[in-house]
Amino acid sequence: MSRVSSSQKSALLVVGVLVLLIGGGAGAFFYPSASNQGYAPEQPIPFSHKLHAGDHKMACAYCHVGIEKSKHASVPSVNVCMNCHTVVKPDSPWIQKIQKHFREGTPIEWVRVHELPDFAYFPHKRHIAKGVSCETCHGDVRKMDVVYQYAPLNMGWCMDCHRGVTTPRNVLAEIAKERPEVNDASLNHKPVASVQCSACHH
Amino acid sequence: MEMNTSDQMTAKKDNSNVEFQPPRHWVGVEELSPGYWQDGAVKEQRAQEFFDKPIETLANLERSSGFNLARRDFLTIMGASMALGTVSCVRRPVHKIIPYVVKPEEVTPGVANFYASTNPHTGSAVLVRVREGRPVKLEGNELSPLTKGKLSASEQAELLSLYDPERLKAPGSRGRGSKSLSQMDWASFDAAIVEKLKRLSANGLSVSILSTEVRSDTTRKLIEEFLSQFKNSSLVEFDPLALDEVAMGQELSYGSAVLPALRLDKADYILSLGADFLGTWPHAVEYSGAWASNRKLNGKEASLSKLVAFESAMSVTGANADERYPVRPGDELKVALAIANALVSQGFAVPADAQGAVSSHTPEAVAKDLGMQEGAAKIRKIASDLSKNRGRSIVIAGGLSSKTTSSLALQVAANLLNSVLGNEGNTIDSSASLPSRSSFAAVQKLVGEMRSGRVGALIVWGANPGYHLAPSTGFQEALQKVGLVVSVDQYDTETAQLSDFVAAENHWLESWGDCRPRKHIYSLQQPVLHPLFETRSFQDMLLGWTKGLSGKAPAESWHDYLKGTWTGSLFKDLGGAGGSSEQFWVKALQDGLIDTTKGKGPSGAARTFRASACSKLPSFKSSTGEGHLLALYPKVSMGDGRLANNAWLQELPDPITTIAWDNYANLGVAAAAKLGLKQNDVVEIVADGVPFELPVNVQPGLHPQTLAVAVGYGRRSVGKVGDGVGVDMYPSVRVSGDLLVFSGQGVTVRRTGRSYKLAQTQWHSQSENRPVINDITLAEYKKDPGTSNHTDPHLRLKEVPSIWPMHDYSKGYQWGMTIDLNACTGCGACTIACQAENNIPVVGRENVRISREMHWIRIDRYYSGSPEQPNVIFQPMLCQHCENAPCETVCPVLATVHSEDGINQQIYNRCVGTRYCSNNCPYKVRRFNFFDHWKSYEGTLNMVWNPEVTVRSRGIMEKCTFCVQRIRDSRDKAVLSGRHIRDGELKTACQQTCPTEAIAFGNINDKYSEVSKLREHPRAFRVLEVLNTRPRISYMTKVRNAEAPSSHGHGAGHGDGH
Repeated sequence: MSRVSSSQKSALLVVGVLVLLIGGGAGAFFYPSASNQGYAPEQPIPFSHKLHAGDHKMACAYCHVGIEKSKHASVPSVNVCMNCHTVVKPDSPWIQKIQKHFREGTPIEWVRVHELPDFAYFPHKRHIAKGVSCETCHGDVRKMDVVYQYAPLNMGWCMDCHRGVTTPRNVLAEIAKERPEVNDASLNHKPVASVQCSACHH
Repeated sequence: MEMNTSDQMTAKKDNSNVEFQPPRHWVGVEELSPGYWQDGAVKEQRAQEFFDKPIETLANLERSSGFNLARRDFLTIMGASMALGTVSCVRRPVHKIIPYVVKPEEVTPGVANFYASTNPHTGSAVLVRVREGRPVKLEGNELSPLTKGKLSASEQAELLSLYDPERLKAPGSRGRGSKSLSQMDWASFDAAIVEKLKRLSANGLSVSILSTEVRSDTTRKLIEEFLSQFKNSSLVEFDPLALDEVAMGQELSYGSAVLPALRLDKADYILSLGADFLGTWPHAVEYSGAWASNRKLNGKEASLSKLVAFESAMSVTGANADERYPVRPGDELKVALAIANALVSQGFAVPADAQGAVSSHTPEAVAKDLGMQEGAAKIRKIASDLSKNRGRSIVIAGGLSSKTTSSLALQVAANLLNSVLGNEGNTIDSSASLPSRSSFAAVQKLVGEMRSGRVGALIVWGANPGYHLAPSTGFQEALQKVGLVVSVDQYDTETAQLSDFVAAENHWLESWGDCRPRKHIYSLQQPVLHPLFETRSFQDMLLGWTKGLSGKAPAESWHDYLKGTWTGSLFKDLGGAGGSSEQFWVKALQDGLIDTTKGKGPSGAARTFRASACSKLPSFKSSTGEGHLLALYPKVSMGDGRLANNAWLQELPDPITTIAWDNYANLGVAAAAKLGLKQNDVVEIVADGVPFELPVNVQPGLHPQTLAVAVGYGRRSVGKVGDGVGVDMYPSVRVSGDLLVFSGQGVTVRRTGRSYKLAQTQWHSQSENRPVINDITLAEYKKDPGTSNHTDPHLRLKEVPSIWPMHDYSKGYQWGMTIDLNACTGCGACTIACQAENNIPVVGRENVRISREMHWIRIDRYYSGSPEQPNVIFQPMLCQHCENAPCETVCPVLATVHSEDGINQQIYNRCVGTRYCSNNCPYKVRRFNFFDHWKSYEGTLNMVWNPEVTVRSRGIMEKCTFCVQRIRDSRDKAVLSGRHIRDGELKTACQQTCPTEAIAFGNINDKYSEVSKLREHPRAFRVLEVLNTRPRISYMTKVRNAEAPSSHGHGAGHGDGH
């Protein structure tokens, strides 16, 4: 390697710093937001939550069976659709598509709307048990023809709730049964739920 | 507070007036010489935090195996992809959710199901944790009265083998000896086999099945039904590690060829003559648990059982012995007879047939022959201790390293001792043992028949004679005479290479089956997933071929056959068991096993020793020659080599040598010095004209004439993980009568001048010469049980005023652990259990060499005493979850912080990889991902990841989390049912599998929890307490039932390098 003079060195340093600044700035500008709030992808079957959960008032847990017993709410398997759709609207081309999946034993590939990073573990069951309603995180699904991501689902948003800033009143009341101090106004912004890193990251 | 110990050491060395005092506990013999500490390079190296130097090692890694991308190319590509990524990726990656078509009722995504099954290779009952239809962890079945819910390292690692992408994916055929295998579908495969079998049977030729020991009655019945269609057919069972000399010795001495159960829980005095019953023997998990039950000093009286071992290679059992005497392979017999001689002089009577042999083996003559100092007195002492404990002592012999030409005589001698001492029927229980079927004699008979051309077809199931049987057995040559060779295996093995047809077999987790590990235990094996590849169980193949041959099969499927047997004859044999046969079957499926004694265990009676067996005992002959004698031994990880393609096992450092990924020639310290050999020098060993080239491991505690090498390495055809790792030692095996001779042959040793760096971890993760371990003798313990009173006063924690307020740990759950060094055998089961539970990657030999292994729990091994006859102590080392954690204060991004429940948390998504934390950790338990190791997991291997634990990427620090995912899970369960977590309900992966229950874990704020009680035990100490880190892990001092070593005193006399 040939020797580099000190002035060359400093020139290199300046260029390097500039490249980093411009590159970093451009990166920050173009880099996708960590949140995908508003994301509403097209689904292989245009299932309407408005129709099912809104108009027909079906309970969320009828299809999303995992909410009380698992970390995953889980998307229903085709046989759950077929509970009704063997008789309900069998002539619709979309229903026929579902029936075809059922007959042929091929799963429906739904596009994931709500997604946390792989290093975050979110248990539905704990939240449901404390009285957090589905709407708190998923919005009023009963009005959504196409489901979209309602909440930012980033860590700051999680922490706001865990720290008691945005915690729904009914949840606070539930927590206060065991820990009365959470009703104390002076404790504002003190955690009402776990803020231990490893509670979600392990 | 902190002492710069190495400086003080240096100062001491510079002062020639002060006599050199070696450290009391040492990891390598080097540390015992003053020159080592004066060596400039050593000083520099030991002053470093880590033993690797990143600059040097990166150059080594470039273009090395496993990393084909040079570092520079890698950076270029990374740069480019970063730039591309920034521009194009403006929308999230689209991920799919693919639910079931019809969700099985028992599956809830995100919730694990547990199924009971059985490992047919070992007979261990297992519980399989299954997530969304795929097994993610194996644990022992707690209902098993044998293993009590524990598994060994290799049984834990079976999970990885299930997902091995190099398993055979479909059946195939090949021209004999050709490398390439042409795949077939099952229909044409079956048709071809049936057509050939028909022709054979028409010509009156026989069919033989060669398999590993069949531990299932039902499978044996099916095999016999299949074979009954052919004339002169036979089932031959053979395991290379089988203790067939024990069974033959039992037959000679007592008339039945069984492996008796060792009741170590009843044994107060244990004499091992080359037997590795705590490590590599069948039922080692059961025996470890029973042995440890008398080692914990938890009772009111301070009593310990005593384990004395005479052995050639150093085994796990020898390492755990209170007294261990290194001998030449074959000398075990002389020791046994000398003890018999001493017993006779103490008034015991031996049969007349034995008198000649016994009287010629005087303790004096044998001690002189063995080179034991004050040996005669020691042998007499052992004899008198045995007689003092008569009925409560046990003599155990057998295993590869003592399988010399005199192995049968050794068995007879051991049986004689046990009968004379009244141990037979008490600590030796044969009442629950089934006949031992693995027999080399049967293999010899088969070879003879093959050679004569009478064997028309040989079906090899699970056995691997192409690898295990040395040319001296004549097997491969005789195979040429067999018209049809079918290999049934999971891999395209060495034997499959010599076959005409290769049938792809299921992994046992994909198959039905059953197993009978003892007479009173019926263990059921149920599949936990659909076969991953186009494979079948052997039993289904047999049913298919039977149907093809005779037009009808005894059952439609193996499942039907098995269920039919269980609900039919077995249900009847067990007396109905109250309920319908279907209920019986369902209960057996759910429990995984049936104990016909309902937990009471068998009760045996003493058998009469047959004096005629004594004719096998030789008269004393003193050893001649100074040459080296070969001792082969199996490792706890690799065993006979069946699981050689399992990277978890290959990378598990051997408990004794701490070497991963290879086998090597173990030479004693004096022997190596005499030959001018040092660690890693490559030598050529010639055994009976067959040369082997191996690197040297200088091993303390070997007889100067012993040269010990592990078998199970040097596989030629198993897969890219196992192929060519180490050297195949089976070709050195000889035949003597009806037995194989693994040890005792004379070998010549020649240095080649080359060297090969073994991946040895013993110098990694050093604690800067600070003493981290303690052991005392039983006498010392009885005098003063307080451990801290036996340690250096300088190392005790002084109460120092802190400039920070202490954290408050008085509320809620506070997790803590204790590890009993008296119970830890070093077997490594915890390491593999942790690896499976916590998604710990495999890094490869090259990375282990430069101390980049990733195991969160490692077993540190220390020696004390003389290098000729050292004591060994194991210390499992993992994150100590310090209350004042040094790592936490230096992390610039708060990626490692303390949780409310006292866990030192490592947050992967926050970590930027500065490695300051690891630098500041006095225990050196933090592991850094230098590469994206997960990328080396191909295809199906990715199914092994535990979905509850993040798979870490490059540049991330990681370490033991106290299995925080299990804590969260237990917490969720407890909270949702409105209660607290119960003590014992929550187990970490290492604790769960520990065969000796050395690990306790729980809430230290609960005064009644086991862990709280143990933390208060006088034996409990915390490592490097003087640093005021306040670890959450306490160790229980090892207490040896031995005489105090002469160099050992209390307090400052330790000379631990300070």
